[in-house]
Amino acid sequence: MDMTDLTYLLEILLFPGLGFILGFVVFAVWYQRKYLARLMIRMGPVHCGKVLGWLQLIADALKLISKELIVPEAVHKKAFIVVTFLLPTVPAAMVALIPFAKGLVIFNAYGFNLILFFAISTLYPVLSVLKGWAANNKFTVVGAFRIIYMDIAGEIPIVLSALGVMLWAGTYDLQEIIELQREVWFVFPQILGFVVFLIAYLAMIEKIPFDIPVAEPELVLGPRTEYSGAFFLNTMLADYVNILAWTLLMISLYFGGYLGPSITGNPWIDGSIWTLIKLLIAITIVFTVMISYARLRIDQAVRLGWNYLIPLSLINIMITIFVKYIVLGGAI
Amino acid sequence: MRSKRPSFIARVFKPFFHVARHALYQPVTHKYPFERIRGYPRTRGFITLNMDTCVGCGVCAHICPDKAIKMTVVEGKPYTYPSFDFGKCCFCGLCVESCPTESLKTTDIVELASFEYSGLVYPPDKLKEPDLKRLLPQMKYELKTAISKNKGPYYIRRRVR
Repeated sequence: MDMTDLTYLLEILLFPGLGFILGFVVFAVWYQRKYLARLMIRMGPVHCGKVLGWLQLIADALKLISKELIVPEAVHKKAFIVVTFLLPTVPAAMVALIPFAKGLVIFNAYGFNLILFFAISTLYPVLSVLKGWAANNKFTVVGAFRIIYMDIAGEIPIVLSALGVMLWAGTYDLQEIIELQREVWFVFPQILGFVVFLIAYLAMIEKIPFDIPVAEPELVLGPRTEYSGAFFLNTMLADYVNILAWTLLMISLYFGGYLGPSITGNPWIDGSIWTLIKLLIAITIVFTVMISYARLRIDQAVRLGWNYLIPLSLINIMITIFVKYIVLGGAI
Repeated sequence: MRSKRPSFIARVFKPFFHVARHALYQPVTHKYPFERIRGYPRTRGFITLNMDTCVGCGVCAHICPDKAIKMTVVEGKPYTYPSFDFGKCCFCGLCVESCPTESLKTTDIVELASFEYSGLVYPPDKLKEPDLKRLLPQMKYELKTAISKNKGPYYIRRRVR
């Protein structure tokens, strides 16, 4: 095994790969509880662990893992078990396509990273629906159908607004898109597309105001109702890895990805640090949005998607084409 | 008349910034056994007796709606003095109000839980302000509430030990 193989193995196991994803999930859940508590002028977890209740999540995870695995009688047993373990792998595969620094990407799809990202992302709702259907319960099935609604409301605008970025940059390669943002972040020329992307992104990660599939007062926990113990842990893991993947995509498309002033001199470490800083700011904003607004109804969300977001993203594409090819003559 | 509906921008952005501002506030919850809010003046908690000024008139025992006060003899003292059964007491404060010599006073101490019923019965010579160190051995800070214009409500912390 030579050095490049070892580096690649470490990439998969540690930094942009498995270790980072699991670490992010633990951090994000803790940060969500702590930050939301601060916004509600509470304290959040306090007693477990000396500093800021950091041991609480590890205690929760251990509790969930050590619980009895309950498979209800009426469920489709194979799908019920397999889906929960398959679910976190889809967003994890999406994370593998995001460059964390120049050359630091787990799977380089030879210039088609962005297309492949969207292709893989379509699998996630399919598995989520299967998750709800396999549990064979009113709440889970209704939640699963709501996932389909949310998907058609959110996924088309998100792809169309990303298409604006692809047209502006003239490439499907995420790394090239990031490199083209050295002078100005694409959030400025693509401001309309960004607004559409942001709203559709909130719909894709299924957090309030778009947590319609998991509407707690109506559907208990939506498609996750019947899952307990380690199964529940896996579905929750999938949720947060999904947030990670879409947030990283938003950073890469609109906020210059790993670009930033040099700190240590090593491009890989610098890129990683800047990605993580931008990630932290983005999830802070997402969590603030989460408690600022009320949940939309399903019809409101679908109307928002089809009546406003899709036309706006089409207008954005037209503006992009007009400005790039007619005003600027094909160069940005 | 119906008030005017706020504009779209106000409806979208106002809640966000309103909530985000709370990140600067101090939490209003506090870790109770470790931190304790000092009670407000005239909080009706544990009742103390000044035996030097008490004349043993028995008005407190007479007016007590729960019959929690009994007049008892204390050795070496000229009068009968009230003893309190805090298991019966409803902390209405009528005894304090009716005391002609103002010998009875309320305090803000409410940590009176006891493992036995006899621990709730206080004879006259024990009706002195109890030691918080004994009642709440975990307490490290004493809090006082305050309010600021920019940062909302907050606590002033004083280290006790």
